[in-house]
Amino acid sequence: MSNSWINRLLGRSVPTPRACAKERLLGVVIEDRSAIPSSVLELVRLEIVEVVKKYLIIDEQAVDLKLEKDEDGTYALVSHVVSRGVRKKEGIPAA
Amino acid sequence: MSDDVRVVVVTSGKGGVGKTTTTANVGMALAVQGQKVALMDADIGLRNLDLALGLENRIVYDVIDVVEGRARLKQALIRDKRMQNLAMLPAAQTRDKSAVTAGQMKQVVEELKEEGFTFILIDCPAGIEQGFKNATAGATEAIVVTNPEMASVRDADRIIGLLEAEGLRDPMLIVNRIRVKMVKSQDMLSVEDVQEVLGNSVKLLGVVPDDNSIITSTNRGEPVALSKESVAGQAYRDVAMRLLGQQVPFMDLDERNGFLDRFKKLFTSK
Repeated sequence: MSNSWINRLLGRSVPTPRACAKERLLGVVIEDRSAIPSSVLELVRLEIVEVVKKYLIIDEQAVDLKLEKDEDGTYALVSHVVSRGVRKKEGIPAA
Repeated sequence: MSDDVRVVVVTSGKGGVGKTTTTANVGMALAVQGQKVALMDADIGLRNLDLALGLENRIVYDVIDVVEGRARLKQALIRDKRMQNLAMLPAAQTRDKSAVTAGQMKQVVEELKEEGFTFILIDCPAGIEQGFKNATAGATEAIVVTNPEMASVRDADRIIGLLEAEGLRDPMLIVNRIRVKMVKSQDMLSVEDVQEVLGNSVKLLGVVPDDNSIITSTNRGEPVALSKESVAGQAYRDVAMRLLGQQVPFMDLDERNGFLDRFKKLFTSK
């Protein structure tokens, strides 16, 4: 609690423990329900990294893959990749 | 007639969230309302419901003795010393979950129905294995107990899925050990947060505050539901009324922490 006070004084917005817990829970629960093991998601994520890496300059740790539940109850695989530009390599058209 | 009997399993997935305490107190509160209540401890090998009720010294036979024919159900049932219309069927302490099958547990529930009880509450063991399957076998309704804490909510979600697979749809939820001050300071999941995570197939049956009186009354072997002053006791009595179909508003737990209430408490507590 005291930490959040200091952060608020400094104008930093840090998610509260309550908000953290809720967000993390919504994530695991969706994974548990989808019956897609997190290990499989991780393997998919690693392969996505390998593919994207061939063409784009990326921070491998910043490739994120997660399941989200759509309105109609189906699961969507959502990936978030931060790219710092196109790789300069033969066969890749320059920007 | 025995079709009117309510058979409710009390589950959670995770251990230590208050299943046994909930079973004992909701059962006691239902008995106070005049229901004929049987409490069945399905946690074979880890008997605890007897302690929550203060009946540990009365046990002669247990559920395994009944299943294996060494005792009749009537002999194994222990009448509560305070409430004549409350009875407990103890779990065996020296055996394990594999000592009974789901079919046998179902048979015991059927026999309990014939005894004229109006409510049968089954205290389910933690976990999702055989013990869970045994405990849910004879039930037609389910209560899921959870704490406003991550591991417990996650396990509750798993259990809700497994209950549905067993044909127990739309379980009722009890959020146990809520600390209103921590929720207000954004440090703890709120009841609404828990509901949002678990989805709207789950119906909120009760909210029980984290309350020292649960510990002291359990230590004395007196279910807190019998204590007029206890907020947790009131929460359990409310659960019983809701189970009986009454619309009971959820307590404003925050109010109880106010100055006036503390002041009042000075005069009402022993």
